[in-house]
Amino acid sequence: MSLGLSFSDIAKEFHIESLELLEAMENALVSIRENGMDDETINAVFRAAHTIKGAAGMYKLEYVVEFTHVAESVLDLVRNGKVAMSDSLGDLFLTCKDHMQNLVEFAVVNNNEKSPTSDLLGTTHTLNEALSIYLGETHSTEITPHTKTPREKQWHMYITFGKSVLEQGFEPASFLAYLRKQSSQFNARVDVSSVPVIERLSPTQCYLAFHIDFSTHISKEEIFDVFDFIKEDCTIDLKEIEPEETKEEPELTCKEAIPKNAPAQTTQTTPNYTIRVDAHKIDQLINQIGEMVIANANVVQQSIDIKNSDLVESVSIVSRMLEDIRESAMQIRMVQIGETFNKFKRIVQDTSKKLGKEIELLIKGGETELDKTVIEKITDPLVHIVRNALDHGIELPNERGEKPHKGILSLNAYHDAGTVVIEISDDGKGLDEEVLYQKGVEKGIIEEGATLSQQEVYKLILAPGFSTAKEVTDLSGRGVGMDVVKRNIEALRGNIEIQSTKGKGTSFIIRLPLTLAIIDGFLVKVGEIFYVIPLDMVVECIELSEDEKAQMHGNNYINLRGSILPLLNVGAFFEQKSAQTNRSNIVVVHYAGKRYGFIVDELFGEFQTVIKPLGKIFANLKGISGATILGSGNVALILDVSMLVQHLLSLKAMKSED
Amino acid sequence: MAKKIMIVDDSNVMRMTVSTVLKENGYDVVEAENGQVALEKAVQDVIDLIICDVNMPVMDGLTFATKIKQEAEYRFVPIIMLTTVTDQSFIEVGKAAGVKAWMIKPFDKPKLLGAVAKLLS
Amino acid sequence: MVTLEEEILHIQPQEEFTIYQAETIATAIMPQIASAKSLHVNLSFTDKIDTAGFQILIALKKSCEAFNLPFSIEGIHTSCENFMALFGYDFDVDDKGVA
Repeated sequence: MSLGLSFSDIAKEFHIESLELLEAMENALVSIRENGMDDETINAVFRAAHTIKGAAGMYKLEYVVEFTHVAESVLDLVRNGKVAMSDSLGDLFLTCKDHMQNLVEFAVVNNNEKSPTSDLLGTTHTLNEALSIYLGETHSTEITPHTKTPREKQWHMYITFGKSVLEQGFEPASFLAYLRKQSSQFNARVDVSSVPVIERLSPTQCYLAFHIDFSTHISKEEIFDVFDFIKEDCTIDLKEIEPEETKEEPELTCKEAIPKNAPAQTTQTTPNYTIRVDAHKIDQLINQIGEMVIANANVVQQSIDIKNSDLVESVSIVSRMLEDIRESAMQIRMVQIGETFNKFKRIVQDTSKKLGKEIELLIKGGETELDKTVIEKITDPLVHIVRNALDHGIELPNERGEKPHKGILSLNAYHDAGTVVIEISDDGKGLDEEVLYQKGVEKGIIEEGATLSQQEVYKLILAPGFSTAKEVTDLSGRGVGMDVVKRNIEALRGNIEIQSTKGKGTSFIIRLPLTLAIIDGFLVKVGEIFYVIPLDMVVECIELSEDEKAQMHGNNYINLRGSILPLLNVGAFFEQKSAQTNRSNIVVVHYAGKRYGFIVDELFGEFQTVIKPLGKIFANLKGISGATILGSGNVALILDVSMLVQHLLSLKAMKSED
Repeated sequence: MAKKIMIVDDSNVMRMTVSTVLKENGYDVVEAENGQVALEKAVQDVIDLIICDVNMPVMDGLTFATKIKQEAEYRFVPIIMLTTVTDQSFIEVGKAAGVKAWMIKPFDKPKLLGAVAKLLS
Repeated sequence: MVTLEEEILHIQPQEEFTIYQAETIATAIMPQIASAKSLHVNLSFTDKIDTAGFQILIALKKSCEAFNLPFSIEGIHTSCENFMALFGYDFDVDDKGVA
C-alpha cells in the first residue's frame, strides 16, 4: 500500500497530534477519577486512543496499533457500560496513556525505522495482560462509588413516523434496529392502523407507528438522539416506567418530537474552534505590526509638523487602530494556563499516593492567559516547586497536628499590572530559617556569619546543590534541583518571591512578563548606538562625576554609598570608539541579588518596545539578546544583562588570579 | 474543471494523508476537522464528494451526513465514510442517512481512488 | 410479478421488495384487484424487504379484509422474518388474531 506520503513527511504532525490527544486523554481520565464518569468524558478518552490508532495504522506503526487496539477495546467496553470504571482501571488507563506516549515518541525519534526496544515490548506485554483481564469480563456488577455508570431504565415509546421519511431516504427499521442494539430488552409492536387499503396507498409514503417497550442504560436525551435525523417529521411519546413504587416522575411527552434546543445539544451549538498556526507566522505578524507602529510614529510626527488638524486627527485614528491590531496580534499567542495546571492533578494524585499523604489540589485562575512560549518554559519550574511542596512542604497526615489531615496545595494565577502572577501555596510545615541558614553554610553556599535577609535565606532553597530533606527522595531529588526554577524564571525576565510561616505553610510567588515579545526597557546611548536595558533590572541611574572618574580604580568599580559597585563600560565591551562627551552616566542594575553598574553616555528613560529577534548572523554576538526599532527609525540593541554580568565576573576573577 | 472533494476528519495526520493522495490524482481538496466546520464550509462552497470520519468531536460524521443531505444542493452529493467503526448499527444509520460507501481505515489507496472515481462518474 | 390467474391475484416480488420496487408493484396490482376473488403473495424469491414493501403487504391484507377476500402469504425467508420480528408483526398470528 503506497500512500503518497511517507512517515517522515507526517512524523512532526503525528507527534503533535498524538501528544495533544494523549494530554486530552490524561485530563479526561483524571476528571473521571475526580468527578465520576460521564459519556462525553469517556468518549474523549476513547476517541484519543482511536484516532492515534487510526493514524498509526496508516503508516504501519504496528507496535503502536497493536497496543492501542487492546486499550481501545477495553475503553469501548467501559464506554458501553459493559465493564465498570474503577480507580484501579483508571490508573491502568493512565499507565497505558504513558506507554502510548513512549511508543509514539519512539516511533517519531526513530522515524519508524527501528523495531521497538525490548523494554517497550515488555511494557506492552505487561499492560496487555493487565488489560486482558477486563476483556474477558462482561457486565461486571461491581460498581464503585466513584463511577456514575447509568442505571438501566425501562421505557415505553410511541413513535409515529412522518409521511415523508421514506422519500427522504430513511428506513424506520434502521432506527428500530439501532435502538434495539442499545437496549437489553426490546419489544416493538407495529401499529398499522393508519395503513390504507391498497387502492388508496401511496407506496412511498410512510404510514407506520410503533409501540416500543425497552430497557436501556442510555439517557433520555440519547434515546431522542437516535431519532435525531428525522425528528422534524416524527411524533415521539416517551415515558419512563418505574419498576417499583411509583415515584412521581414527570411524564415526558414530546409532541413534535424533541424541542429544537434540547439541552443535550446546547453545548454543541457554539463550539470553540481552533486553528493550528505555525508560531513562526505569528511572530512574523507581530514583528511586522511592530514595524508598522514605528513607521506610524513618524507619520504622527510629520502630521503634527505640518499643522494640519484634519490630518492629525486622521492619523491619530489610524494610530489607535494600530494599537488595537497590535493588541489582538499579541492576543493570538496567549493561551490559558488552565491546561498546564490540569497536568498537576495527576502529579498530585500520584505523588500523594506514593508518599502516603492526603493532599487536595485547588486550582484558581485557570483562565488566566499568558504567552505560549512563557507557558512552555514555566512548566518545568512549576513541576519542581509542586513536587517540592508535596515532598517537603506538606506533612504526613499524623504529623499535621491541629490542621486538617488533608493537606492543601493551591495553584493560583492572575494578572497584575502588566505581569502574570503564579502562586503555588501549601499549608505544610513552612520553612525554617535557622535550618536553611545552617544548611547553606554546610553546603558552602553562604559564609558563616553572613547577614542575609529573610527573603535571601528562603531563596537558598533555590540555590544549586541545596536540599533540606534528610534523605533525597525519589520525587524531588532527581538530579535537577530547585536551581532550575530560578534559572528558568530569570531567563523569562520574571522573578520569584517566597513567603512562609512556620507551621502554616509556604507560598512561591512567581511574577512573569505577559509576553516575551514586548519589553519594558530603559533606553540609553553610547556613542552613536542606542541600547535598551530591561527595565525590571534597573535600580537607579547616577551621574558619574569627574571626581568619581578620577577615583575609579582602573575603571572597574566605584564606591556607591559605602559598598562596591563593579562597573562595565558598555562602549568598551562592544569595542566602540570612545564617546566625545565628558559626561558619563551609570545605570545600576541588580542581577542575582547583587548590583552592577553599566557605564553609558546618555540616558533617555523608560519605554515599551517590541523585541525583534536577531538574525542568525548575530547568533554569536555576545551581550545582545535582541533588537528593536525606535520611532526615529534607529535601531536599538537590547542588552543581555545576565551575559554581561557574567563577563564582568570573569574579568574580576582573572584580575584576582593575577 | 477538477472535482472538489471534502475531507472531514479530526485527525490532521489523516486529513494530510488522504488529501495528498487525492491531490496527486488531480482532485481539489477542502478539509474540515469536524462535522460542524464541514457543514459551514460545504454551504459556502461547491463540493462534488465528501469523505468523512465517524467519531469526531463537536459534530460526528453521521450527524453531519444527515444534516448535509438536508441541504438541497447536497442531496445527490455522494458521501464516503472512512472510519475504523465497523459496528453494523452505525453502518445502518449511515445508510439511512444516505451514505454511499463505508470504508475501513487504514485505507487502501487504489480502493479509495476507485470508489471516488466511481461515485463521481 | 403480478398476475391474475383464475380469479386469484398472484403477487410475486423478486429478490428485493423495497421502496424501489413498491411503486411498480402497487401500480401493477391496482387495475387487477377489482377482478380478483382471492390474493396470494409468494415471497419465496424475496430476501430483502423494507418498510415500503411491508406496507404494501399490510395494505393488501386490509383490502382483502374490506372485501372479504381470502389473503395468504407463503415462503417468507429468514431475512424477511427478521425484519417483521423487529416490527413485532407476524402475518400468521395476526391473520388469525385480527381476522
